[in-house]
Amino acid sequence: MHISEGVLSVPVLAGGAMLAAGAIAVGLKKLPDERIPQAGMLCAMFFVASLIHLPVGVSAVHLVLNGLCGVLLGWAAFPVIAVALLLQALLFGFGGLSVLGANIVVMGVPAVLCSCLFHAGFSTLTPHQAGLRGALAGGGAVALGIGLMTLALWLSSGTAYWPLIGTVLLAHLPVMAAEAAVTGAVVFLLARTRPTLLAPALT
Amino acid sequence: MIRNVRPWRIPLAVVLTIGAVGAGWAHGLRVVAAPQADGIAGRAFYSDETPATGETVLLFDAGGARLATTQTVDDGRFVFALSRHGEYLVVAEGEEGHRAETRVRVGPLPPSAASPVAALDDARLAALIRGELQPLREDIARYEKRIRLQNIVAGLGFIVGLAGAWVWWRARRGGG
Repeated sequence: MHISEGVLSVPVLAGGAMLAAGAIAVGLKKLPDERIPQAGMLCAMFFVASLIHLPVGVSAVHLVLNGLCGVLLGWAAFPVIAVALLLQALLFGFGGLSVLGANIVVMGVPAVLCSCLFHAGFSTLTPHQAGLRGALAGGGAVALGIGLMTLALWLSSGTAYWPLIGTVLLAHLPVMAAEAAVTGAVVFLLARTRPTLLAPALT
Repeated sequence: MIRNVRPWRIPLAVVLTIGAVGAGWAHGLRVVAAPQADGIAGRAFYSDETPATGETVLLFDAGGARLATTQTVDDGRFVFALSRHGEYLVVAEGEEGHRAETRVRVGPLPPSAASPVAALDDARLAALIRGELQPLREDIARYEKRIRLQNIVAGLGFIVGLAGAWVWWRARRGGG
């Protein structure tokens, strides 16, 4: 899901960087002090998740976990994803420094959107309903991310990538299922044991 | 039925299932290339070291002009035939915005000796050495691009430190 260096055009890179910087500032303002350790933990999870890889046909996909970050952190998912992506770029060579902003937007915007959808009318949910919503948020965040990635590629180079979006979505069906399962399970567990962590205070 | 399952077992089961499917390294495209007797040969692979088959590989000269395009075969290998020395840029382009590039310098063969026969021998010797060195060059390039455990640990440590620094900063501002 990481866009590599040298694929996007300069206006898209600049736009992505500016959007990302603004969203990170908003996220840091909205992150309450007592949630900073949780944000750090989710950052570590996001950082490592990209190394868990699922073989799909000839290609392979990896977990993203941006939906889970969004559901638990709301806007604060942006700084968390930014730090994790920066480290992935520096240490693993996924993506790159110039495309960092674009990649943050591609993974952060779905996180915040899914968080809003997840928290709409949340107070009345049972753990099972919360888990189901979490699963939808996890799968949906990946689908939205692919949409944004395709949009960024299309803005940079014209129509060349549009026909691919169908196959790309299809190739990511397993990762959507895996994301949905992991996010749903974690949210279900939290809704049963620590419902306060799911409180919509951050959106 | 589901009530008998303890909640913490569910994420554990999910993680174990994913682990059983194949926990490995992720999906970044890498490319290595080295000069050969009559061109450039190389390999494209993903960061989990599975070969990247059927990907497009482009060859550019030092000025940025595109010289050739090819596709990787089953084991991710590709070959470009070349007749001139110089600096070249090899770019592998995968789907979904994956891209990797590497520079290759194809050096001149040794200057021709006094007799044409000696020159021929030198050229053959150089070609032979390049052929023999090819796997070694590929191994070194692949080793350089590998994801190492210490990088993962370093990243996790960095995240812990950053979170700690942010907490400290907030506490200092709150206190003063």
